[in-house]
Amino acid sequence: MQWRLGLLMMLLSFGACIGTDVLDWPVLEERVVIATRLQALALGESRQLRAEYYDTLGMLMNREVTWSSSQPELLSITPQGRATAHMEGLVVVTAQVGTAMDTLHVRAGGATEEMNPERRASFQGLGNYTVSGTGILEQMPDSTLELRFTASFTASNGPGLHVYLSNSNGGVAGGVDLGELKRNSGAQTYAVPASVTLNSYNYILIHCQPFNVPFGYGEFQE
Amino acid sequence: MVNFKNSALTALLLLWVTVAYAGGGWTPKAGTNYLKVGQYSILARHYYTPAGDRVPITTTGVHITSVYWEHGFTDRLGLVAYVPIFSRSTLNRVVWPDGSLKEEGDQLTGIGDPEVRLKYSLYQKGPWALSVAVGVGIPLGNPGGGQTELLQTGDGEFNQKLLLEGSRSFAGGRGYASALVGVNNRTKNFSEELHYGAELGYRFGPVWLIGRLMGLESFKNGDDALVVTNGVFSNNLEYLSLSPEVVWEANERWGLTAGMATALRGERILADPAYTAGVYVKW
Repeated sequence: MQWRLGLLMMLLSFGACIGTDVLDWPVLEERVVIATRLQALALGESRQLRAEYYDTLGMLMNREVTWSSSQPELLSITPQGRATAHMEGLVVVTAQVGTAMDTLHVRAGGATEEMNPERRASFQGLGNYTVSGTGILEQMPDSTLELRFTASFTASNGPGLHVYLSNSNGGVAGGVDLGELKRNSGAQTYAVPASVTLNSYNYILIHCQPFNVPFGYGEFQE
Repeated sequence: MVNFKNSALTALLLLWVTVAYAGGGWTPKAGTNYLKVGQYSILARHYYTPAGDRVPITTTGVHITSVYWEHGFTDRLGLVAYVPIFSRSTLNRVVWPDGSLKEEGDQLTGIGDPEVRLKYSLYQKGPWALSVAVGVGIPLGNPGGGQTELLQTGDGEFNQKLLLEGSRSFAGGRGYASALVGVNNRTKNFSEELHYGAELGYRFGPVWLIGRLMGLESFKNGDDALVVTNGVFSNNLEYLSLSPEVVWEANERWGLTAGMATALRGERILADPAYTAGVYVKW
């Protein structure tokens, strides 16, 4: 009797299977992001603006964007988002989908300029994990994006740490996985998929992939 | 990053060893034996972070079948051995609500890290008993396996333990109370640990009801670099565990045990209850 019970216990260990965890969809705020980083537009010139819409799951969706200009006599914009500068002055361009909107301050007149083609984020740890240093999302001369960590970057080690771009500082749903963290300290770079723009995401996440635990994040500053 | 292989489930193994303390201040009498085949299982969906916060994680399973043996060489000197003969670790696959895969699951099966202790009776008179034990944990388990190389059946380092246990029986032997304190010296620059605990047992006919409160505090004196390389599980873990157990004595020769262990607080340890069952024989 007792030996059969002992054998049964051994079988229990062998019989333990891999289960399935079903994640909840996150509920995020809808976001509209003006992806074109136009700062100034020369008089008489036109520029096509582009906006992205992210739904409550953080997913990039194709939605019709409503464009408007605070002063159309200075800078007009078509329903398709083509801006033309007519007179000198400061204009606020708005892109809207439903109640979600983003604004862009553009100077009409002078030389056409774009904003600095990079965004910086300072890391901070979560749950007593150490993540520090600076991450820079940079547009390269060939228009591709690269995420670069400076030499001051450090992160606690952990199992299967991945680097994500995300619109939440605590989760990766709707975000883009840039791959496994290459090193726990020092400078390193990550290629960013072509579908991502400089303004697509607000956070860099250091995320423990197998156990689904965020280690830290950096919020992009303009 | 690779060094994290040393990490994943150490906490659980230590918890099991804590549960496996038995005998208190008493040592087995000369020539007697106590052998138990035990099963330990945990499916954890939460984890205590280094800050002590309880956070959700991908479901992590540990299932250990072990043999626990006490043998008395003399009335004062005994052997205590714990051998996890089958240890299986699992990590659930993760899917989004629409069924699309986020992360593959993982599994690892193997032998665990055995622990052997020599226990010597320092004092035994009337209801009082005091013993000291020295033990070694042998890293026979796999410290990093599975597809992810993150699952473990062992921690990959030697443990040297020194334990002092005291007990007192009462109610004519129907009840007992025990306390223990000990230190665990660990190799490979892991931090040393303080083990402590108390146990209360009372007999109702053939049934013993036992409650244990066990704690582990890390001296956090390990290599700083090693601490950095062990972010989720393993080095510098701490916990306070409550583990009730029921023992049913079928007769003088054999019986069954069932229990659970839960961490009331912890750092770097799984944060859901573990369940235990066992069948023992005495001769």
